[in-house]
Amino acid sequence: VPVISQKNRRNATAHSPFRCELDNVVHSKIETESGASLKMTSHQDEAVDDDERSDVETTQERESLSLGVSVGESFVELYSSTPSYRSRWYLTRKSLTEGLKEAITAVMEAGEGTSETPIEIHVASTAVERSLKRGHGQSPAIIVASGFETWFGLRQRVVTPTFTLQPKRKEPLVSKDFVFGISGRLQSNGHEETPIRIEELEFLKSKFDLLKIQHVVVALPHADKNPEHELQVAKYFEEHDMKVFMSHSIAEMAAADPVARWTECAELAYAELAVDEERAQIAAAFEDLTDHGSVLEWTRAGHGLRGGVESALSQAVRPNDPTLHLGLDHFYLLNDGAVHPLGLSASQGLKMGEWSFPGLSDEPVGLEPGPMLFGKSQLLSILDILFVQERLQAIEGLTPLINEKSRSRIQETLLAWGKSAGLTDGSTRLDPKAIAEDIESGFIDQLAHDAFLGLKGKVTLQGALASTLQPLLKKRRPDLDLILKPDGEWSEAKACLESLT
Amino acid sequence: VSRITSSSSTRAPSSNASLSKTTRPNRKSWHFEAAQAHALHDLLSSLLDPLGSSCMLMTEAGAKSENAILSIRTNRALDLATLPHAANLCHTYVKLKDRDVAILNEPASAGSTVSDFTLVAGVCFETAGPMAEILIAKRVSFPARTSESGRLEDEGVRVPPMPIAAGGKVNTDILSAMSMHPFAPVGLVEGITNACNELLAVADKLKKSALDPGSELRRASFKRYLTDCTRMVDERLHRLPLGAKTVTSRLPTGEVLKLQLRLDETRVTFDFAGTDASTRFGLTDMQTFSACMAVTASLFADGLPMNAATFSMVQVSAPSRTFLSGRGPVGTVQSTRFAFAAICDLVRAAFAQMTPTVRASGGTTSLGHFQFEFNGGKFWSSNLEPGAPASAEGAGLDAYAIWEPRPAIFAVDEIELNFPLKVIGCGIRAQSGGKGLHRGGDGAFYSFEVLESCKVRWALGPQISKTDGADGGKAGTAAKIEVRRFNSTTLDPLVEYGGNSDGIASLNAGDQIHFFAAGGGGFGSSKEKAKEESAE
Repeated sequence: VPVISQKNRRNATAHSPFRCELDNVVHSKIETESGASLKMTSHQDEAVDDDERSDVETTQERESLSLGVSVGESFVELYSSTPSYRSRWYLTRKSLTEGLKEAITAVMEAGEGTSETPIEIHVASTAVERSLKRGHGQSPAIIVASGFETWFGLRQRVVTPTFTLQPKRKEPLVSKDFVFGISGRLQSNGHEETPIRIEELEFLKSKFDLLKIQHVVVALPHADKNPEHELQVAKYFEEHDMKVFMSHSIAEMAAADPVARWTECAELAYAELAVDEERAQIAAAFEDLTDHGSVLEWTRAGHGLRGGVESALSQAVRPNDPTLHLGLDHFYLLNDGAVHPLGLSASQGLKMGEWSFPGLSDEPVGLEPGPMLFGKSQLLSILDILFVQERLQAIEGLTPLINEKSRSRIQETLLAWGKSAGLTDGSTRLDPKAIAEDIESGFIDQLAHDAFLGLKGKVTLQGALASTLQPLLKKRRPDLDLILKPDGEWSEAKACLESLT
Repeated sequence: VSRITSSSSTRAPSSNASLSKTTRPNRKSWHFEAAQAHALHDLLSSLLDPLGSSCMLMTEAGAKSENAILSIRTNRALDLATLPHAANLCHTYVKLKDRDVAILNEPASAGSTVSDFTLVAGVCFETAGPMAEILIAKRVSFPARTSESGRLEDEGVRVPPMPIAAGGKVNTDILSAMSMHPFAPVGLVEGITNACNELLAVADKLKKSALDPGSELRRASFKRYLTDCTRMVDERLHRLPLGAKTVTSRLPTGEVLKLQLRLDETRVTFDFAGTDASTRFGLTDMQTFSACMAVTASLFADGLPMNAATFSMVQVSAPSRTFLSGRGPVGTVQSTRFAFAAICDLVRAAFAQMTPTVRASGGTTSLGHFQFEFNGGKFWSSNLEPGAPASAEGAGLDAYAIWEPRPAIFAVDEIELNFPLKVIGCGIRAQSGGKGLHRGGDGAFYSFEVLESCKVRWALGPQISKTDGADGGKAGTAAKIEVRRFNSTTLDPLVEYGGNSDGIASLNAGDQIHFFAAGGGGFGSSKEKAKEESAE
């Protein structure tokens, strides 16, 4: 278990305003039966300058090996400082279990550990977001007060453009057929008005059995004043081996809109399966590597499962300078003691927008099946543009996936877009590189604007894409001192390691 | 819009919707300019992000030329022209300097209703001078209040253009004084103060953006941006068929609305000559313009930038004797809503005569309203959303007023905590949409038990009578209100189809009341649907 100097611990806590909301940073600890330990004393050597070094200097007396693991939407990043080990792999090519096994074996060898060496891993995962985004989850039933069964659907936001003649709402995560009302009701002061009727729950249970529902969300009015009704319902269904999510447990939202509470609960219930699967995959990585009897402890701060790398970054030791994190999934600005998500990402999609010119779409296309440069996808993204512009620096885990033949496909797509936008006037042959250049410039312009608004002097860049984007950002903002953080390519997994329990 | 009649067109309309596309030379260079315009468009849009909806940015051009709207973001059609107009008025009267904020809600000038307050902040971003170079506006809406008298004075406090913050400091004394008015909205001081602070935060962000050495946020860029937008809008216009159509409709209250729509290569013209005067309705010319602009924008699925360039393609003529030109009495909250929705529906019907894809059923798009009034003047009100009419393109959306989609924030916990009301239920009124090839959207429903005696007031407007289907589609179910008295087992109708759209009733503790919004009209014959299904 790391022993961290008091100064560092205090600083880290002070820099962690979201500490109590830390969600998907999962801490697991593996110990062998014998409890043998490996002792190490080390200094973190990734600090940017002397000031920062003194701030993060940590004396660790380790009795275990510690790994930081960031499970992103498509890539896994792993980091160990002592012994030094880094790895990134694409989940489509190598499973989480397989990659972890390889990494643990390598770390144990490098650190002279044995199968009895305790291993502590800090995982930040996007399992919930992945599950919601890809629709890989299990639809729960929602139990609400009778009379409110259709309210949930009505509260979904309208996703069509303003003033459209054919407006549409976002499809709710849970179909209206899976929302059930019960007569139990509390008054606004939390006093019981109508008790929970067990026969109603029995009836619902039989319905759930028919529908093969295993997860139940209980979302009753005024549960924040008095959770008793939700607890009664939960007890009944838990006794029947069902997993129950109660709206009053979303504590930080208790005073806010109840439908937002319900939605949060429903999303967590929906993604529970994916979280369980991922947990099992991590556990499986240790099964063959350690003696039987290993203990895998999962502890979560907070009550939700959200957060992923954003939680890890907000918990990790903070740099003094503003830091722009340019990860494969998300971009963040770390400044003023907080993590600010930026609206752009490396897999930002492109579309023919209202200007009849290829521009950035509102949503990232993700990294699976990948940008076009992986050779499979049909959807253009910013990574493709950086590739044809020959900006992409070597990125472990990503570079081997690049299919060189895709270059011509990307250029042809750009050309087709150009033609459909009427970019040629018949006499001039259009250069797809010119289109790519313009898209790139628009992207860098927007990124620089959003990230550096109001900043002066030194800004540190980190993340897998930091070295790729640094020259472009520097050209856009020559007045800023944009420096690359040493070892910053691994900052996500490193943040997982630094985040304290 | 019921009973729409079509007169002969003054110019032969084109038979193909995608006609008249002119060949433009040097398209390559224009499109690369468009890329730059796109970047500025995104930047302006991102500046407005923190303000949510009903907000805008406009340049301050000085006395010699007109201020130019740079960007408007709103999902309420009414805001489109009234918000910049209100911002202009505020600045004209108050002479905003850097980080000053002015306020206005006077319906006759602001073009909003008394429950909507327009806030305008001045920003000086390029020069060190004190006068505003850019105006940022935001409209803050409070729950609407209706009154028995039908007089505007009884609906809320009326505020002429006046300063509310100087140099970034909000004058809470003025706000407190306003909040003392017996009909001032609950939470006025907090709501306006928060909105002021949001505006000032955006003003600061705008100043920082201007300091970015690569930023396009320059007066010179604005001019180029609007020129590029004009070209883009011009291109969009070429997708519409040319020609003219005249349509008329009669409101449930008897007034006749007449519109001649003319589409030519560079402009869309709306001429309302022939529309009646009215003692009941009174829209301002900016409200009428907003309706025409919103429906025109709705024709373009890929959107239009909402700014001065787009506005320049629309020309509206509303003669002074009509109720659309601001010469008549100022409309109350509900009369404004009903008349505005009627104009939007008429304009859409006119376009439908020329482009069949925008044809829709005749259900209303007007929000209804109900409110509870308790002892001591305490009141709580809510909207009653009808189902959207189905159209040639598809089914109508449930509980959605297309031109005024108020967010359905209906926090049961909060209502029960703050008012002597128990919410028995709320959601979608099942099966209220009209059947047809495309089904009309279902209306909303809200049910309450009152815990103290109170009065309930409602204004359902056309929802009580106007739910027609089209092209063989069935009518939606009309709005209704039912009451179950304490200790009674029967539900008694308070208002039903064809009844009075406005009314008031007394309720005692323990009484239950149920509000049901109208369903949208269906479009197309159900038989066609059955045929399609069997063919599949």
